[in-house]
Amino acid sequence: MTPIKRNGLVCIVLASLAGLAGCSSSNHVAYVTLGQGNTIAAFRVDNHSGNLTKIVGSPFNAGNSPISMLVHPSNKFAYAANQIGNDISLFTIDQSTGALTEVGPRAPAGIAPAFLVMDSDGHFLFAANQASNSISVYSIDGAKGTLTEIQGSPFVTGANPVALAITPSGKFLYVATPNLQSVFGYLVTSGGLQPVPNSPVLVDVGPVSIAVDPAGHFLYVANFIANTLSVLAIDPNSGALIAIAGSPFITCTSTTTACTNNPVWVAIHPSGKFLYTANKGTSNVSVFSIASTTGVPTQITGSPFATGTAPVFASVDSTGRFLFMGNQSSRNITGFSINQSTGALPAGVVGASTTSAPTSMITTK
Amino acid sequence: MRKNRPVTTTQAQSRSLIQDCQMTLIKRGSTTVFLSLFLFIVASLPSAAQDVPRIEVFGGYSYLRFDSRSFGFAGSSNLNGYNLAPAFNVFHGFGVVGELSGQYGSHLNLRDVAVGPQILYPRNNLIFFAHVMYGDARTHVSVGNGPGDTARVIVAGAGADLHYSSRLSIRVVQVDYLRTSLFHGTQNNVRISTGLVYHWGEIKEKKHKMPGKAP
Repeated sequence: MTPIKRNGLVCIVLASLAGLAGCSSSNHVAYVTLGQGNTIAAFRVDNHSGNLTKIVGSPFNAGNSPISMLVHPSNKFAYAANQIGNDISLFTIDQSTGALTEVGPRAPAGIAPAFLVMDSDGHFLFAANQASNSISVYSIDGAKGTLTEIQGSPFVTGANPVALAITPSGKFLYVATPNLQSVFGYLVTSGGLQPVPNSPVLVDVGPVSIAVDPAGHFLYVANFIANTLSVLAIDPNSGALIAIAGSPFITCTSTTTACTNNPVWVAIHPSGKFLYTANKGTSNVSVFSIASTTGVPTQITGSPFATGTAPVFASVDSTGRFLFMGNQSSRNITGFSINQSTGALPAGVVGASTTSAPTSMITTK
Repeated sequence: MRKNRPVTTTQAQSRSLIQDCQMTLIKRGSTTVFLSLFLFIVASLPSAAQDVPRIEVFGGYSYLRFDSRSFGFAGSSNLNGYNLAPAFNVFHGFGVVGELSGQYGSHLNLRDVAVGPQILYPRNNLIFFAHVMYGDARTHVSVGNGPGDTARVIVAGAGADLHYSSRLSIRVVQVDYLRTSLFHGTQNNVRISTGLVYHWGEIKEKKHKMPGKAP
């Protein structure tokens, strides 16, 4: 090899090294409210493994006791209900880091806002005010994310509203009220909330969490004290609720021993095929398959699956590939990948610890 | 209020990512070809300079592609800054090099101090070099409560200096791989530097004597 060729070869190797730099892949972000610390923790969710990576700089400062959180469909804004602060915080989301920056002023709510839902278009936000027995309704500025309470809000509802669910069409809103063992239903109009026929509907003891299936046909209710799952069919025209045959369904697998699993949260897979309940009493998660036509939940083989200690929420990530459980006593997030055929939860996802007890979780799209 | 369900975009996002990566690699490939041609032509220029300086100080611009995914960010970060590197050559093909480097971006910065051995390969107008250094790196992240961290850094790289005058060379390119372990993660970073090299003294290349013919 001549010196010129040899030198050229070295040059090419050097220049090739200069061209080396990996392609970055885009993942999504999970936000976890930490009520005791007045902060919100943020984690990057790996799209392939589901592993959580804490975002450096997290947790981010929030309002007084954030307990429920939402991300706007644009992924630009996030909202948190501050249970002690009696208000709602607006955050902007940094698209490159996932960092949250609060934008003041906070929107006033009723007393002890405990749960937030938003319509799928991101035009309206609803807050359940647990201590003032009302629902605050806000319109959302799509450009700035700011909240403006609509005329007539807050709307009176049953005592101690702790959970909300809205149909995919945004037409009907449902409210769980454990003190009354009931679910209230409302027709959402531009002027506010109007009760649907037959509202409220009696369910089992201690309804604390509700969820609507993606098709908007059924409402599922986790009854904490009765350890059951109520299933109510939604009338597509009026929004009226009617219990399906067999409801409520027991959430334990054994019928010979006392059932004390205390389901505290119900979550439905985006496909509508599976349902998950966080069982605070037995520190596990039950998995049910859902019959698409009847809505009947059937617990799958292998269920329940162990979680951390005292899970208080179950959150299916926006891709539908992973399930995250927030564990109150062990102060961590347990992650599972979801078998897309059976809904089962094989282990293998790296979760995360939190600085205080997690209270809710939401992932960006 | 009309409501629609959001459309799942996972497949579209995956295709977009692949296309983005392909475009990035094509762009980098073009840069690589031009840089290779430039160095090849420069290295081919006739010159008698085979000596290396005794002492040299490099100073110039540096670009760092920082692997901030381990920080929980959406992707890598582009940082810009300086690189200052004094070197002392012990003999013709070997020396010791140190560096003080810093790069800055909108969400974080990285500074490092490192030292290690360096080998030199002078040919025609160019001196090629390669080095391995070990030291400390510090980062400051301007996200949330603005945390910082310090950790070990390993630097491995190579480059080429183009002889300009008796005192000055142009560092055409220096490419370094930096491995850091900040915030309990591992970051694989790539840095590219360019600038000027000022030098003093010289070390002559030892000529091998040819065996003489018998009278």
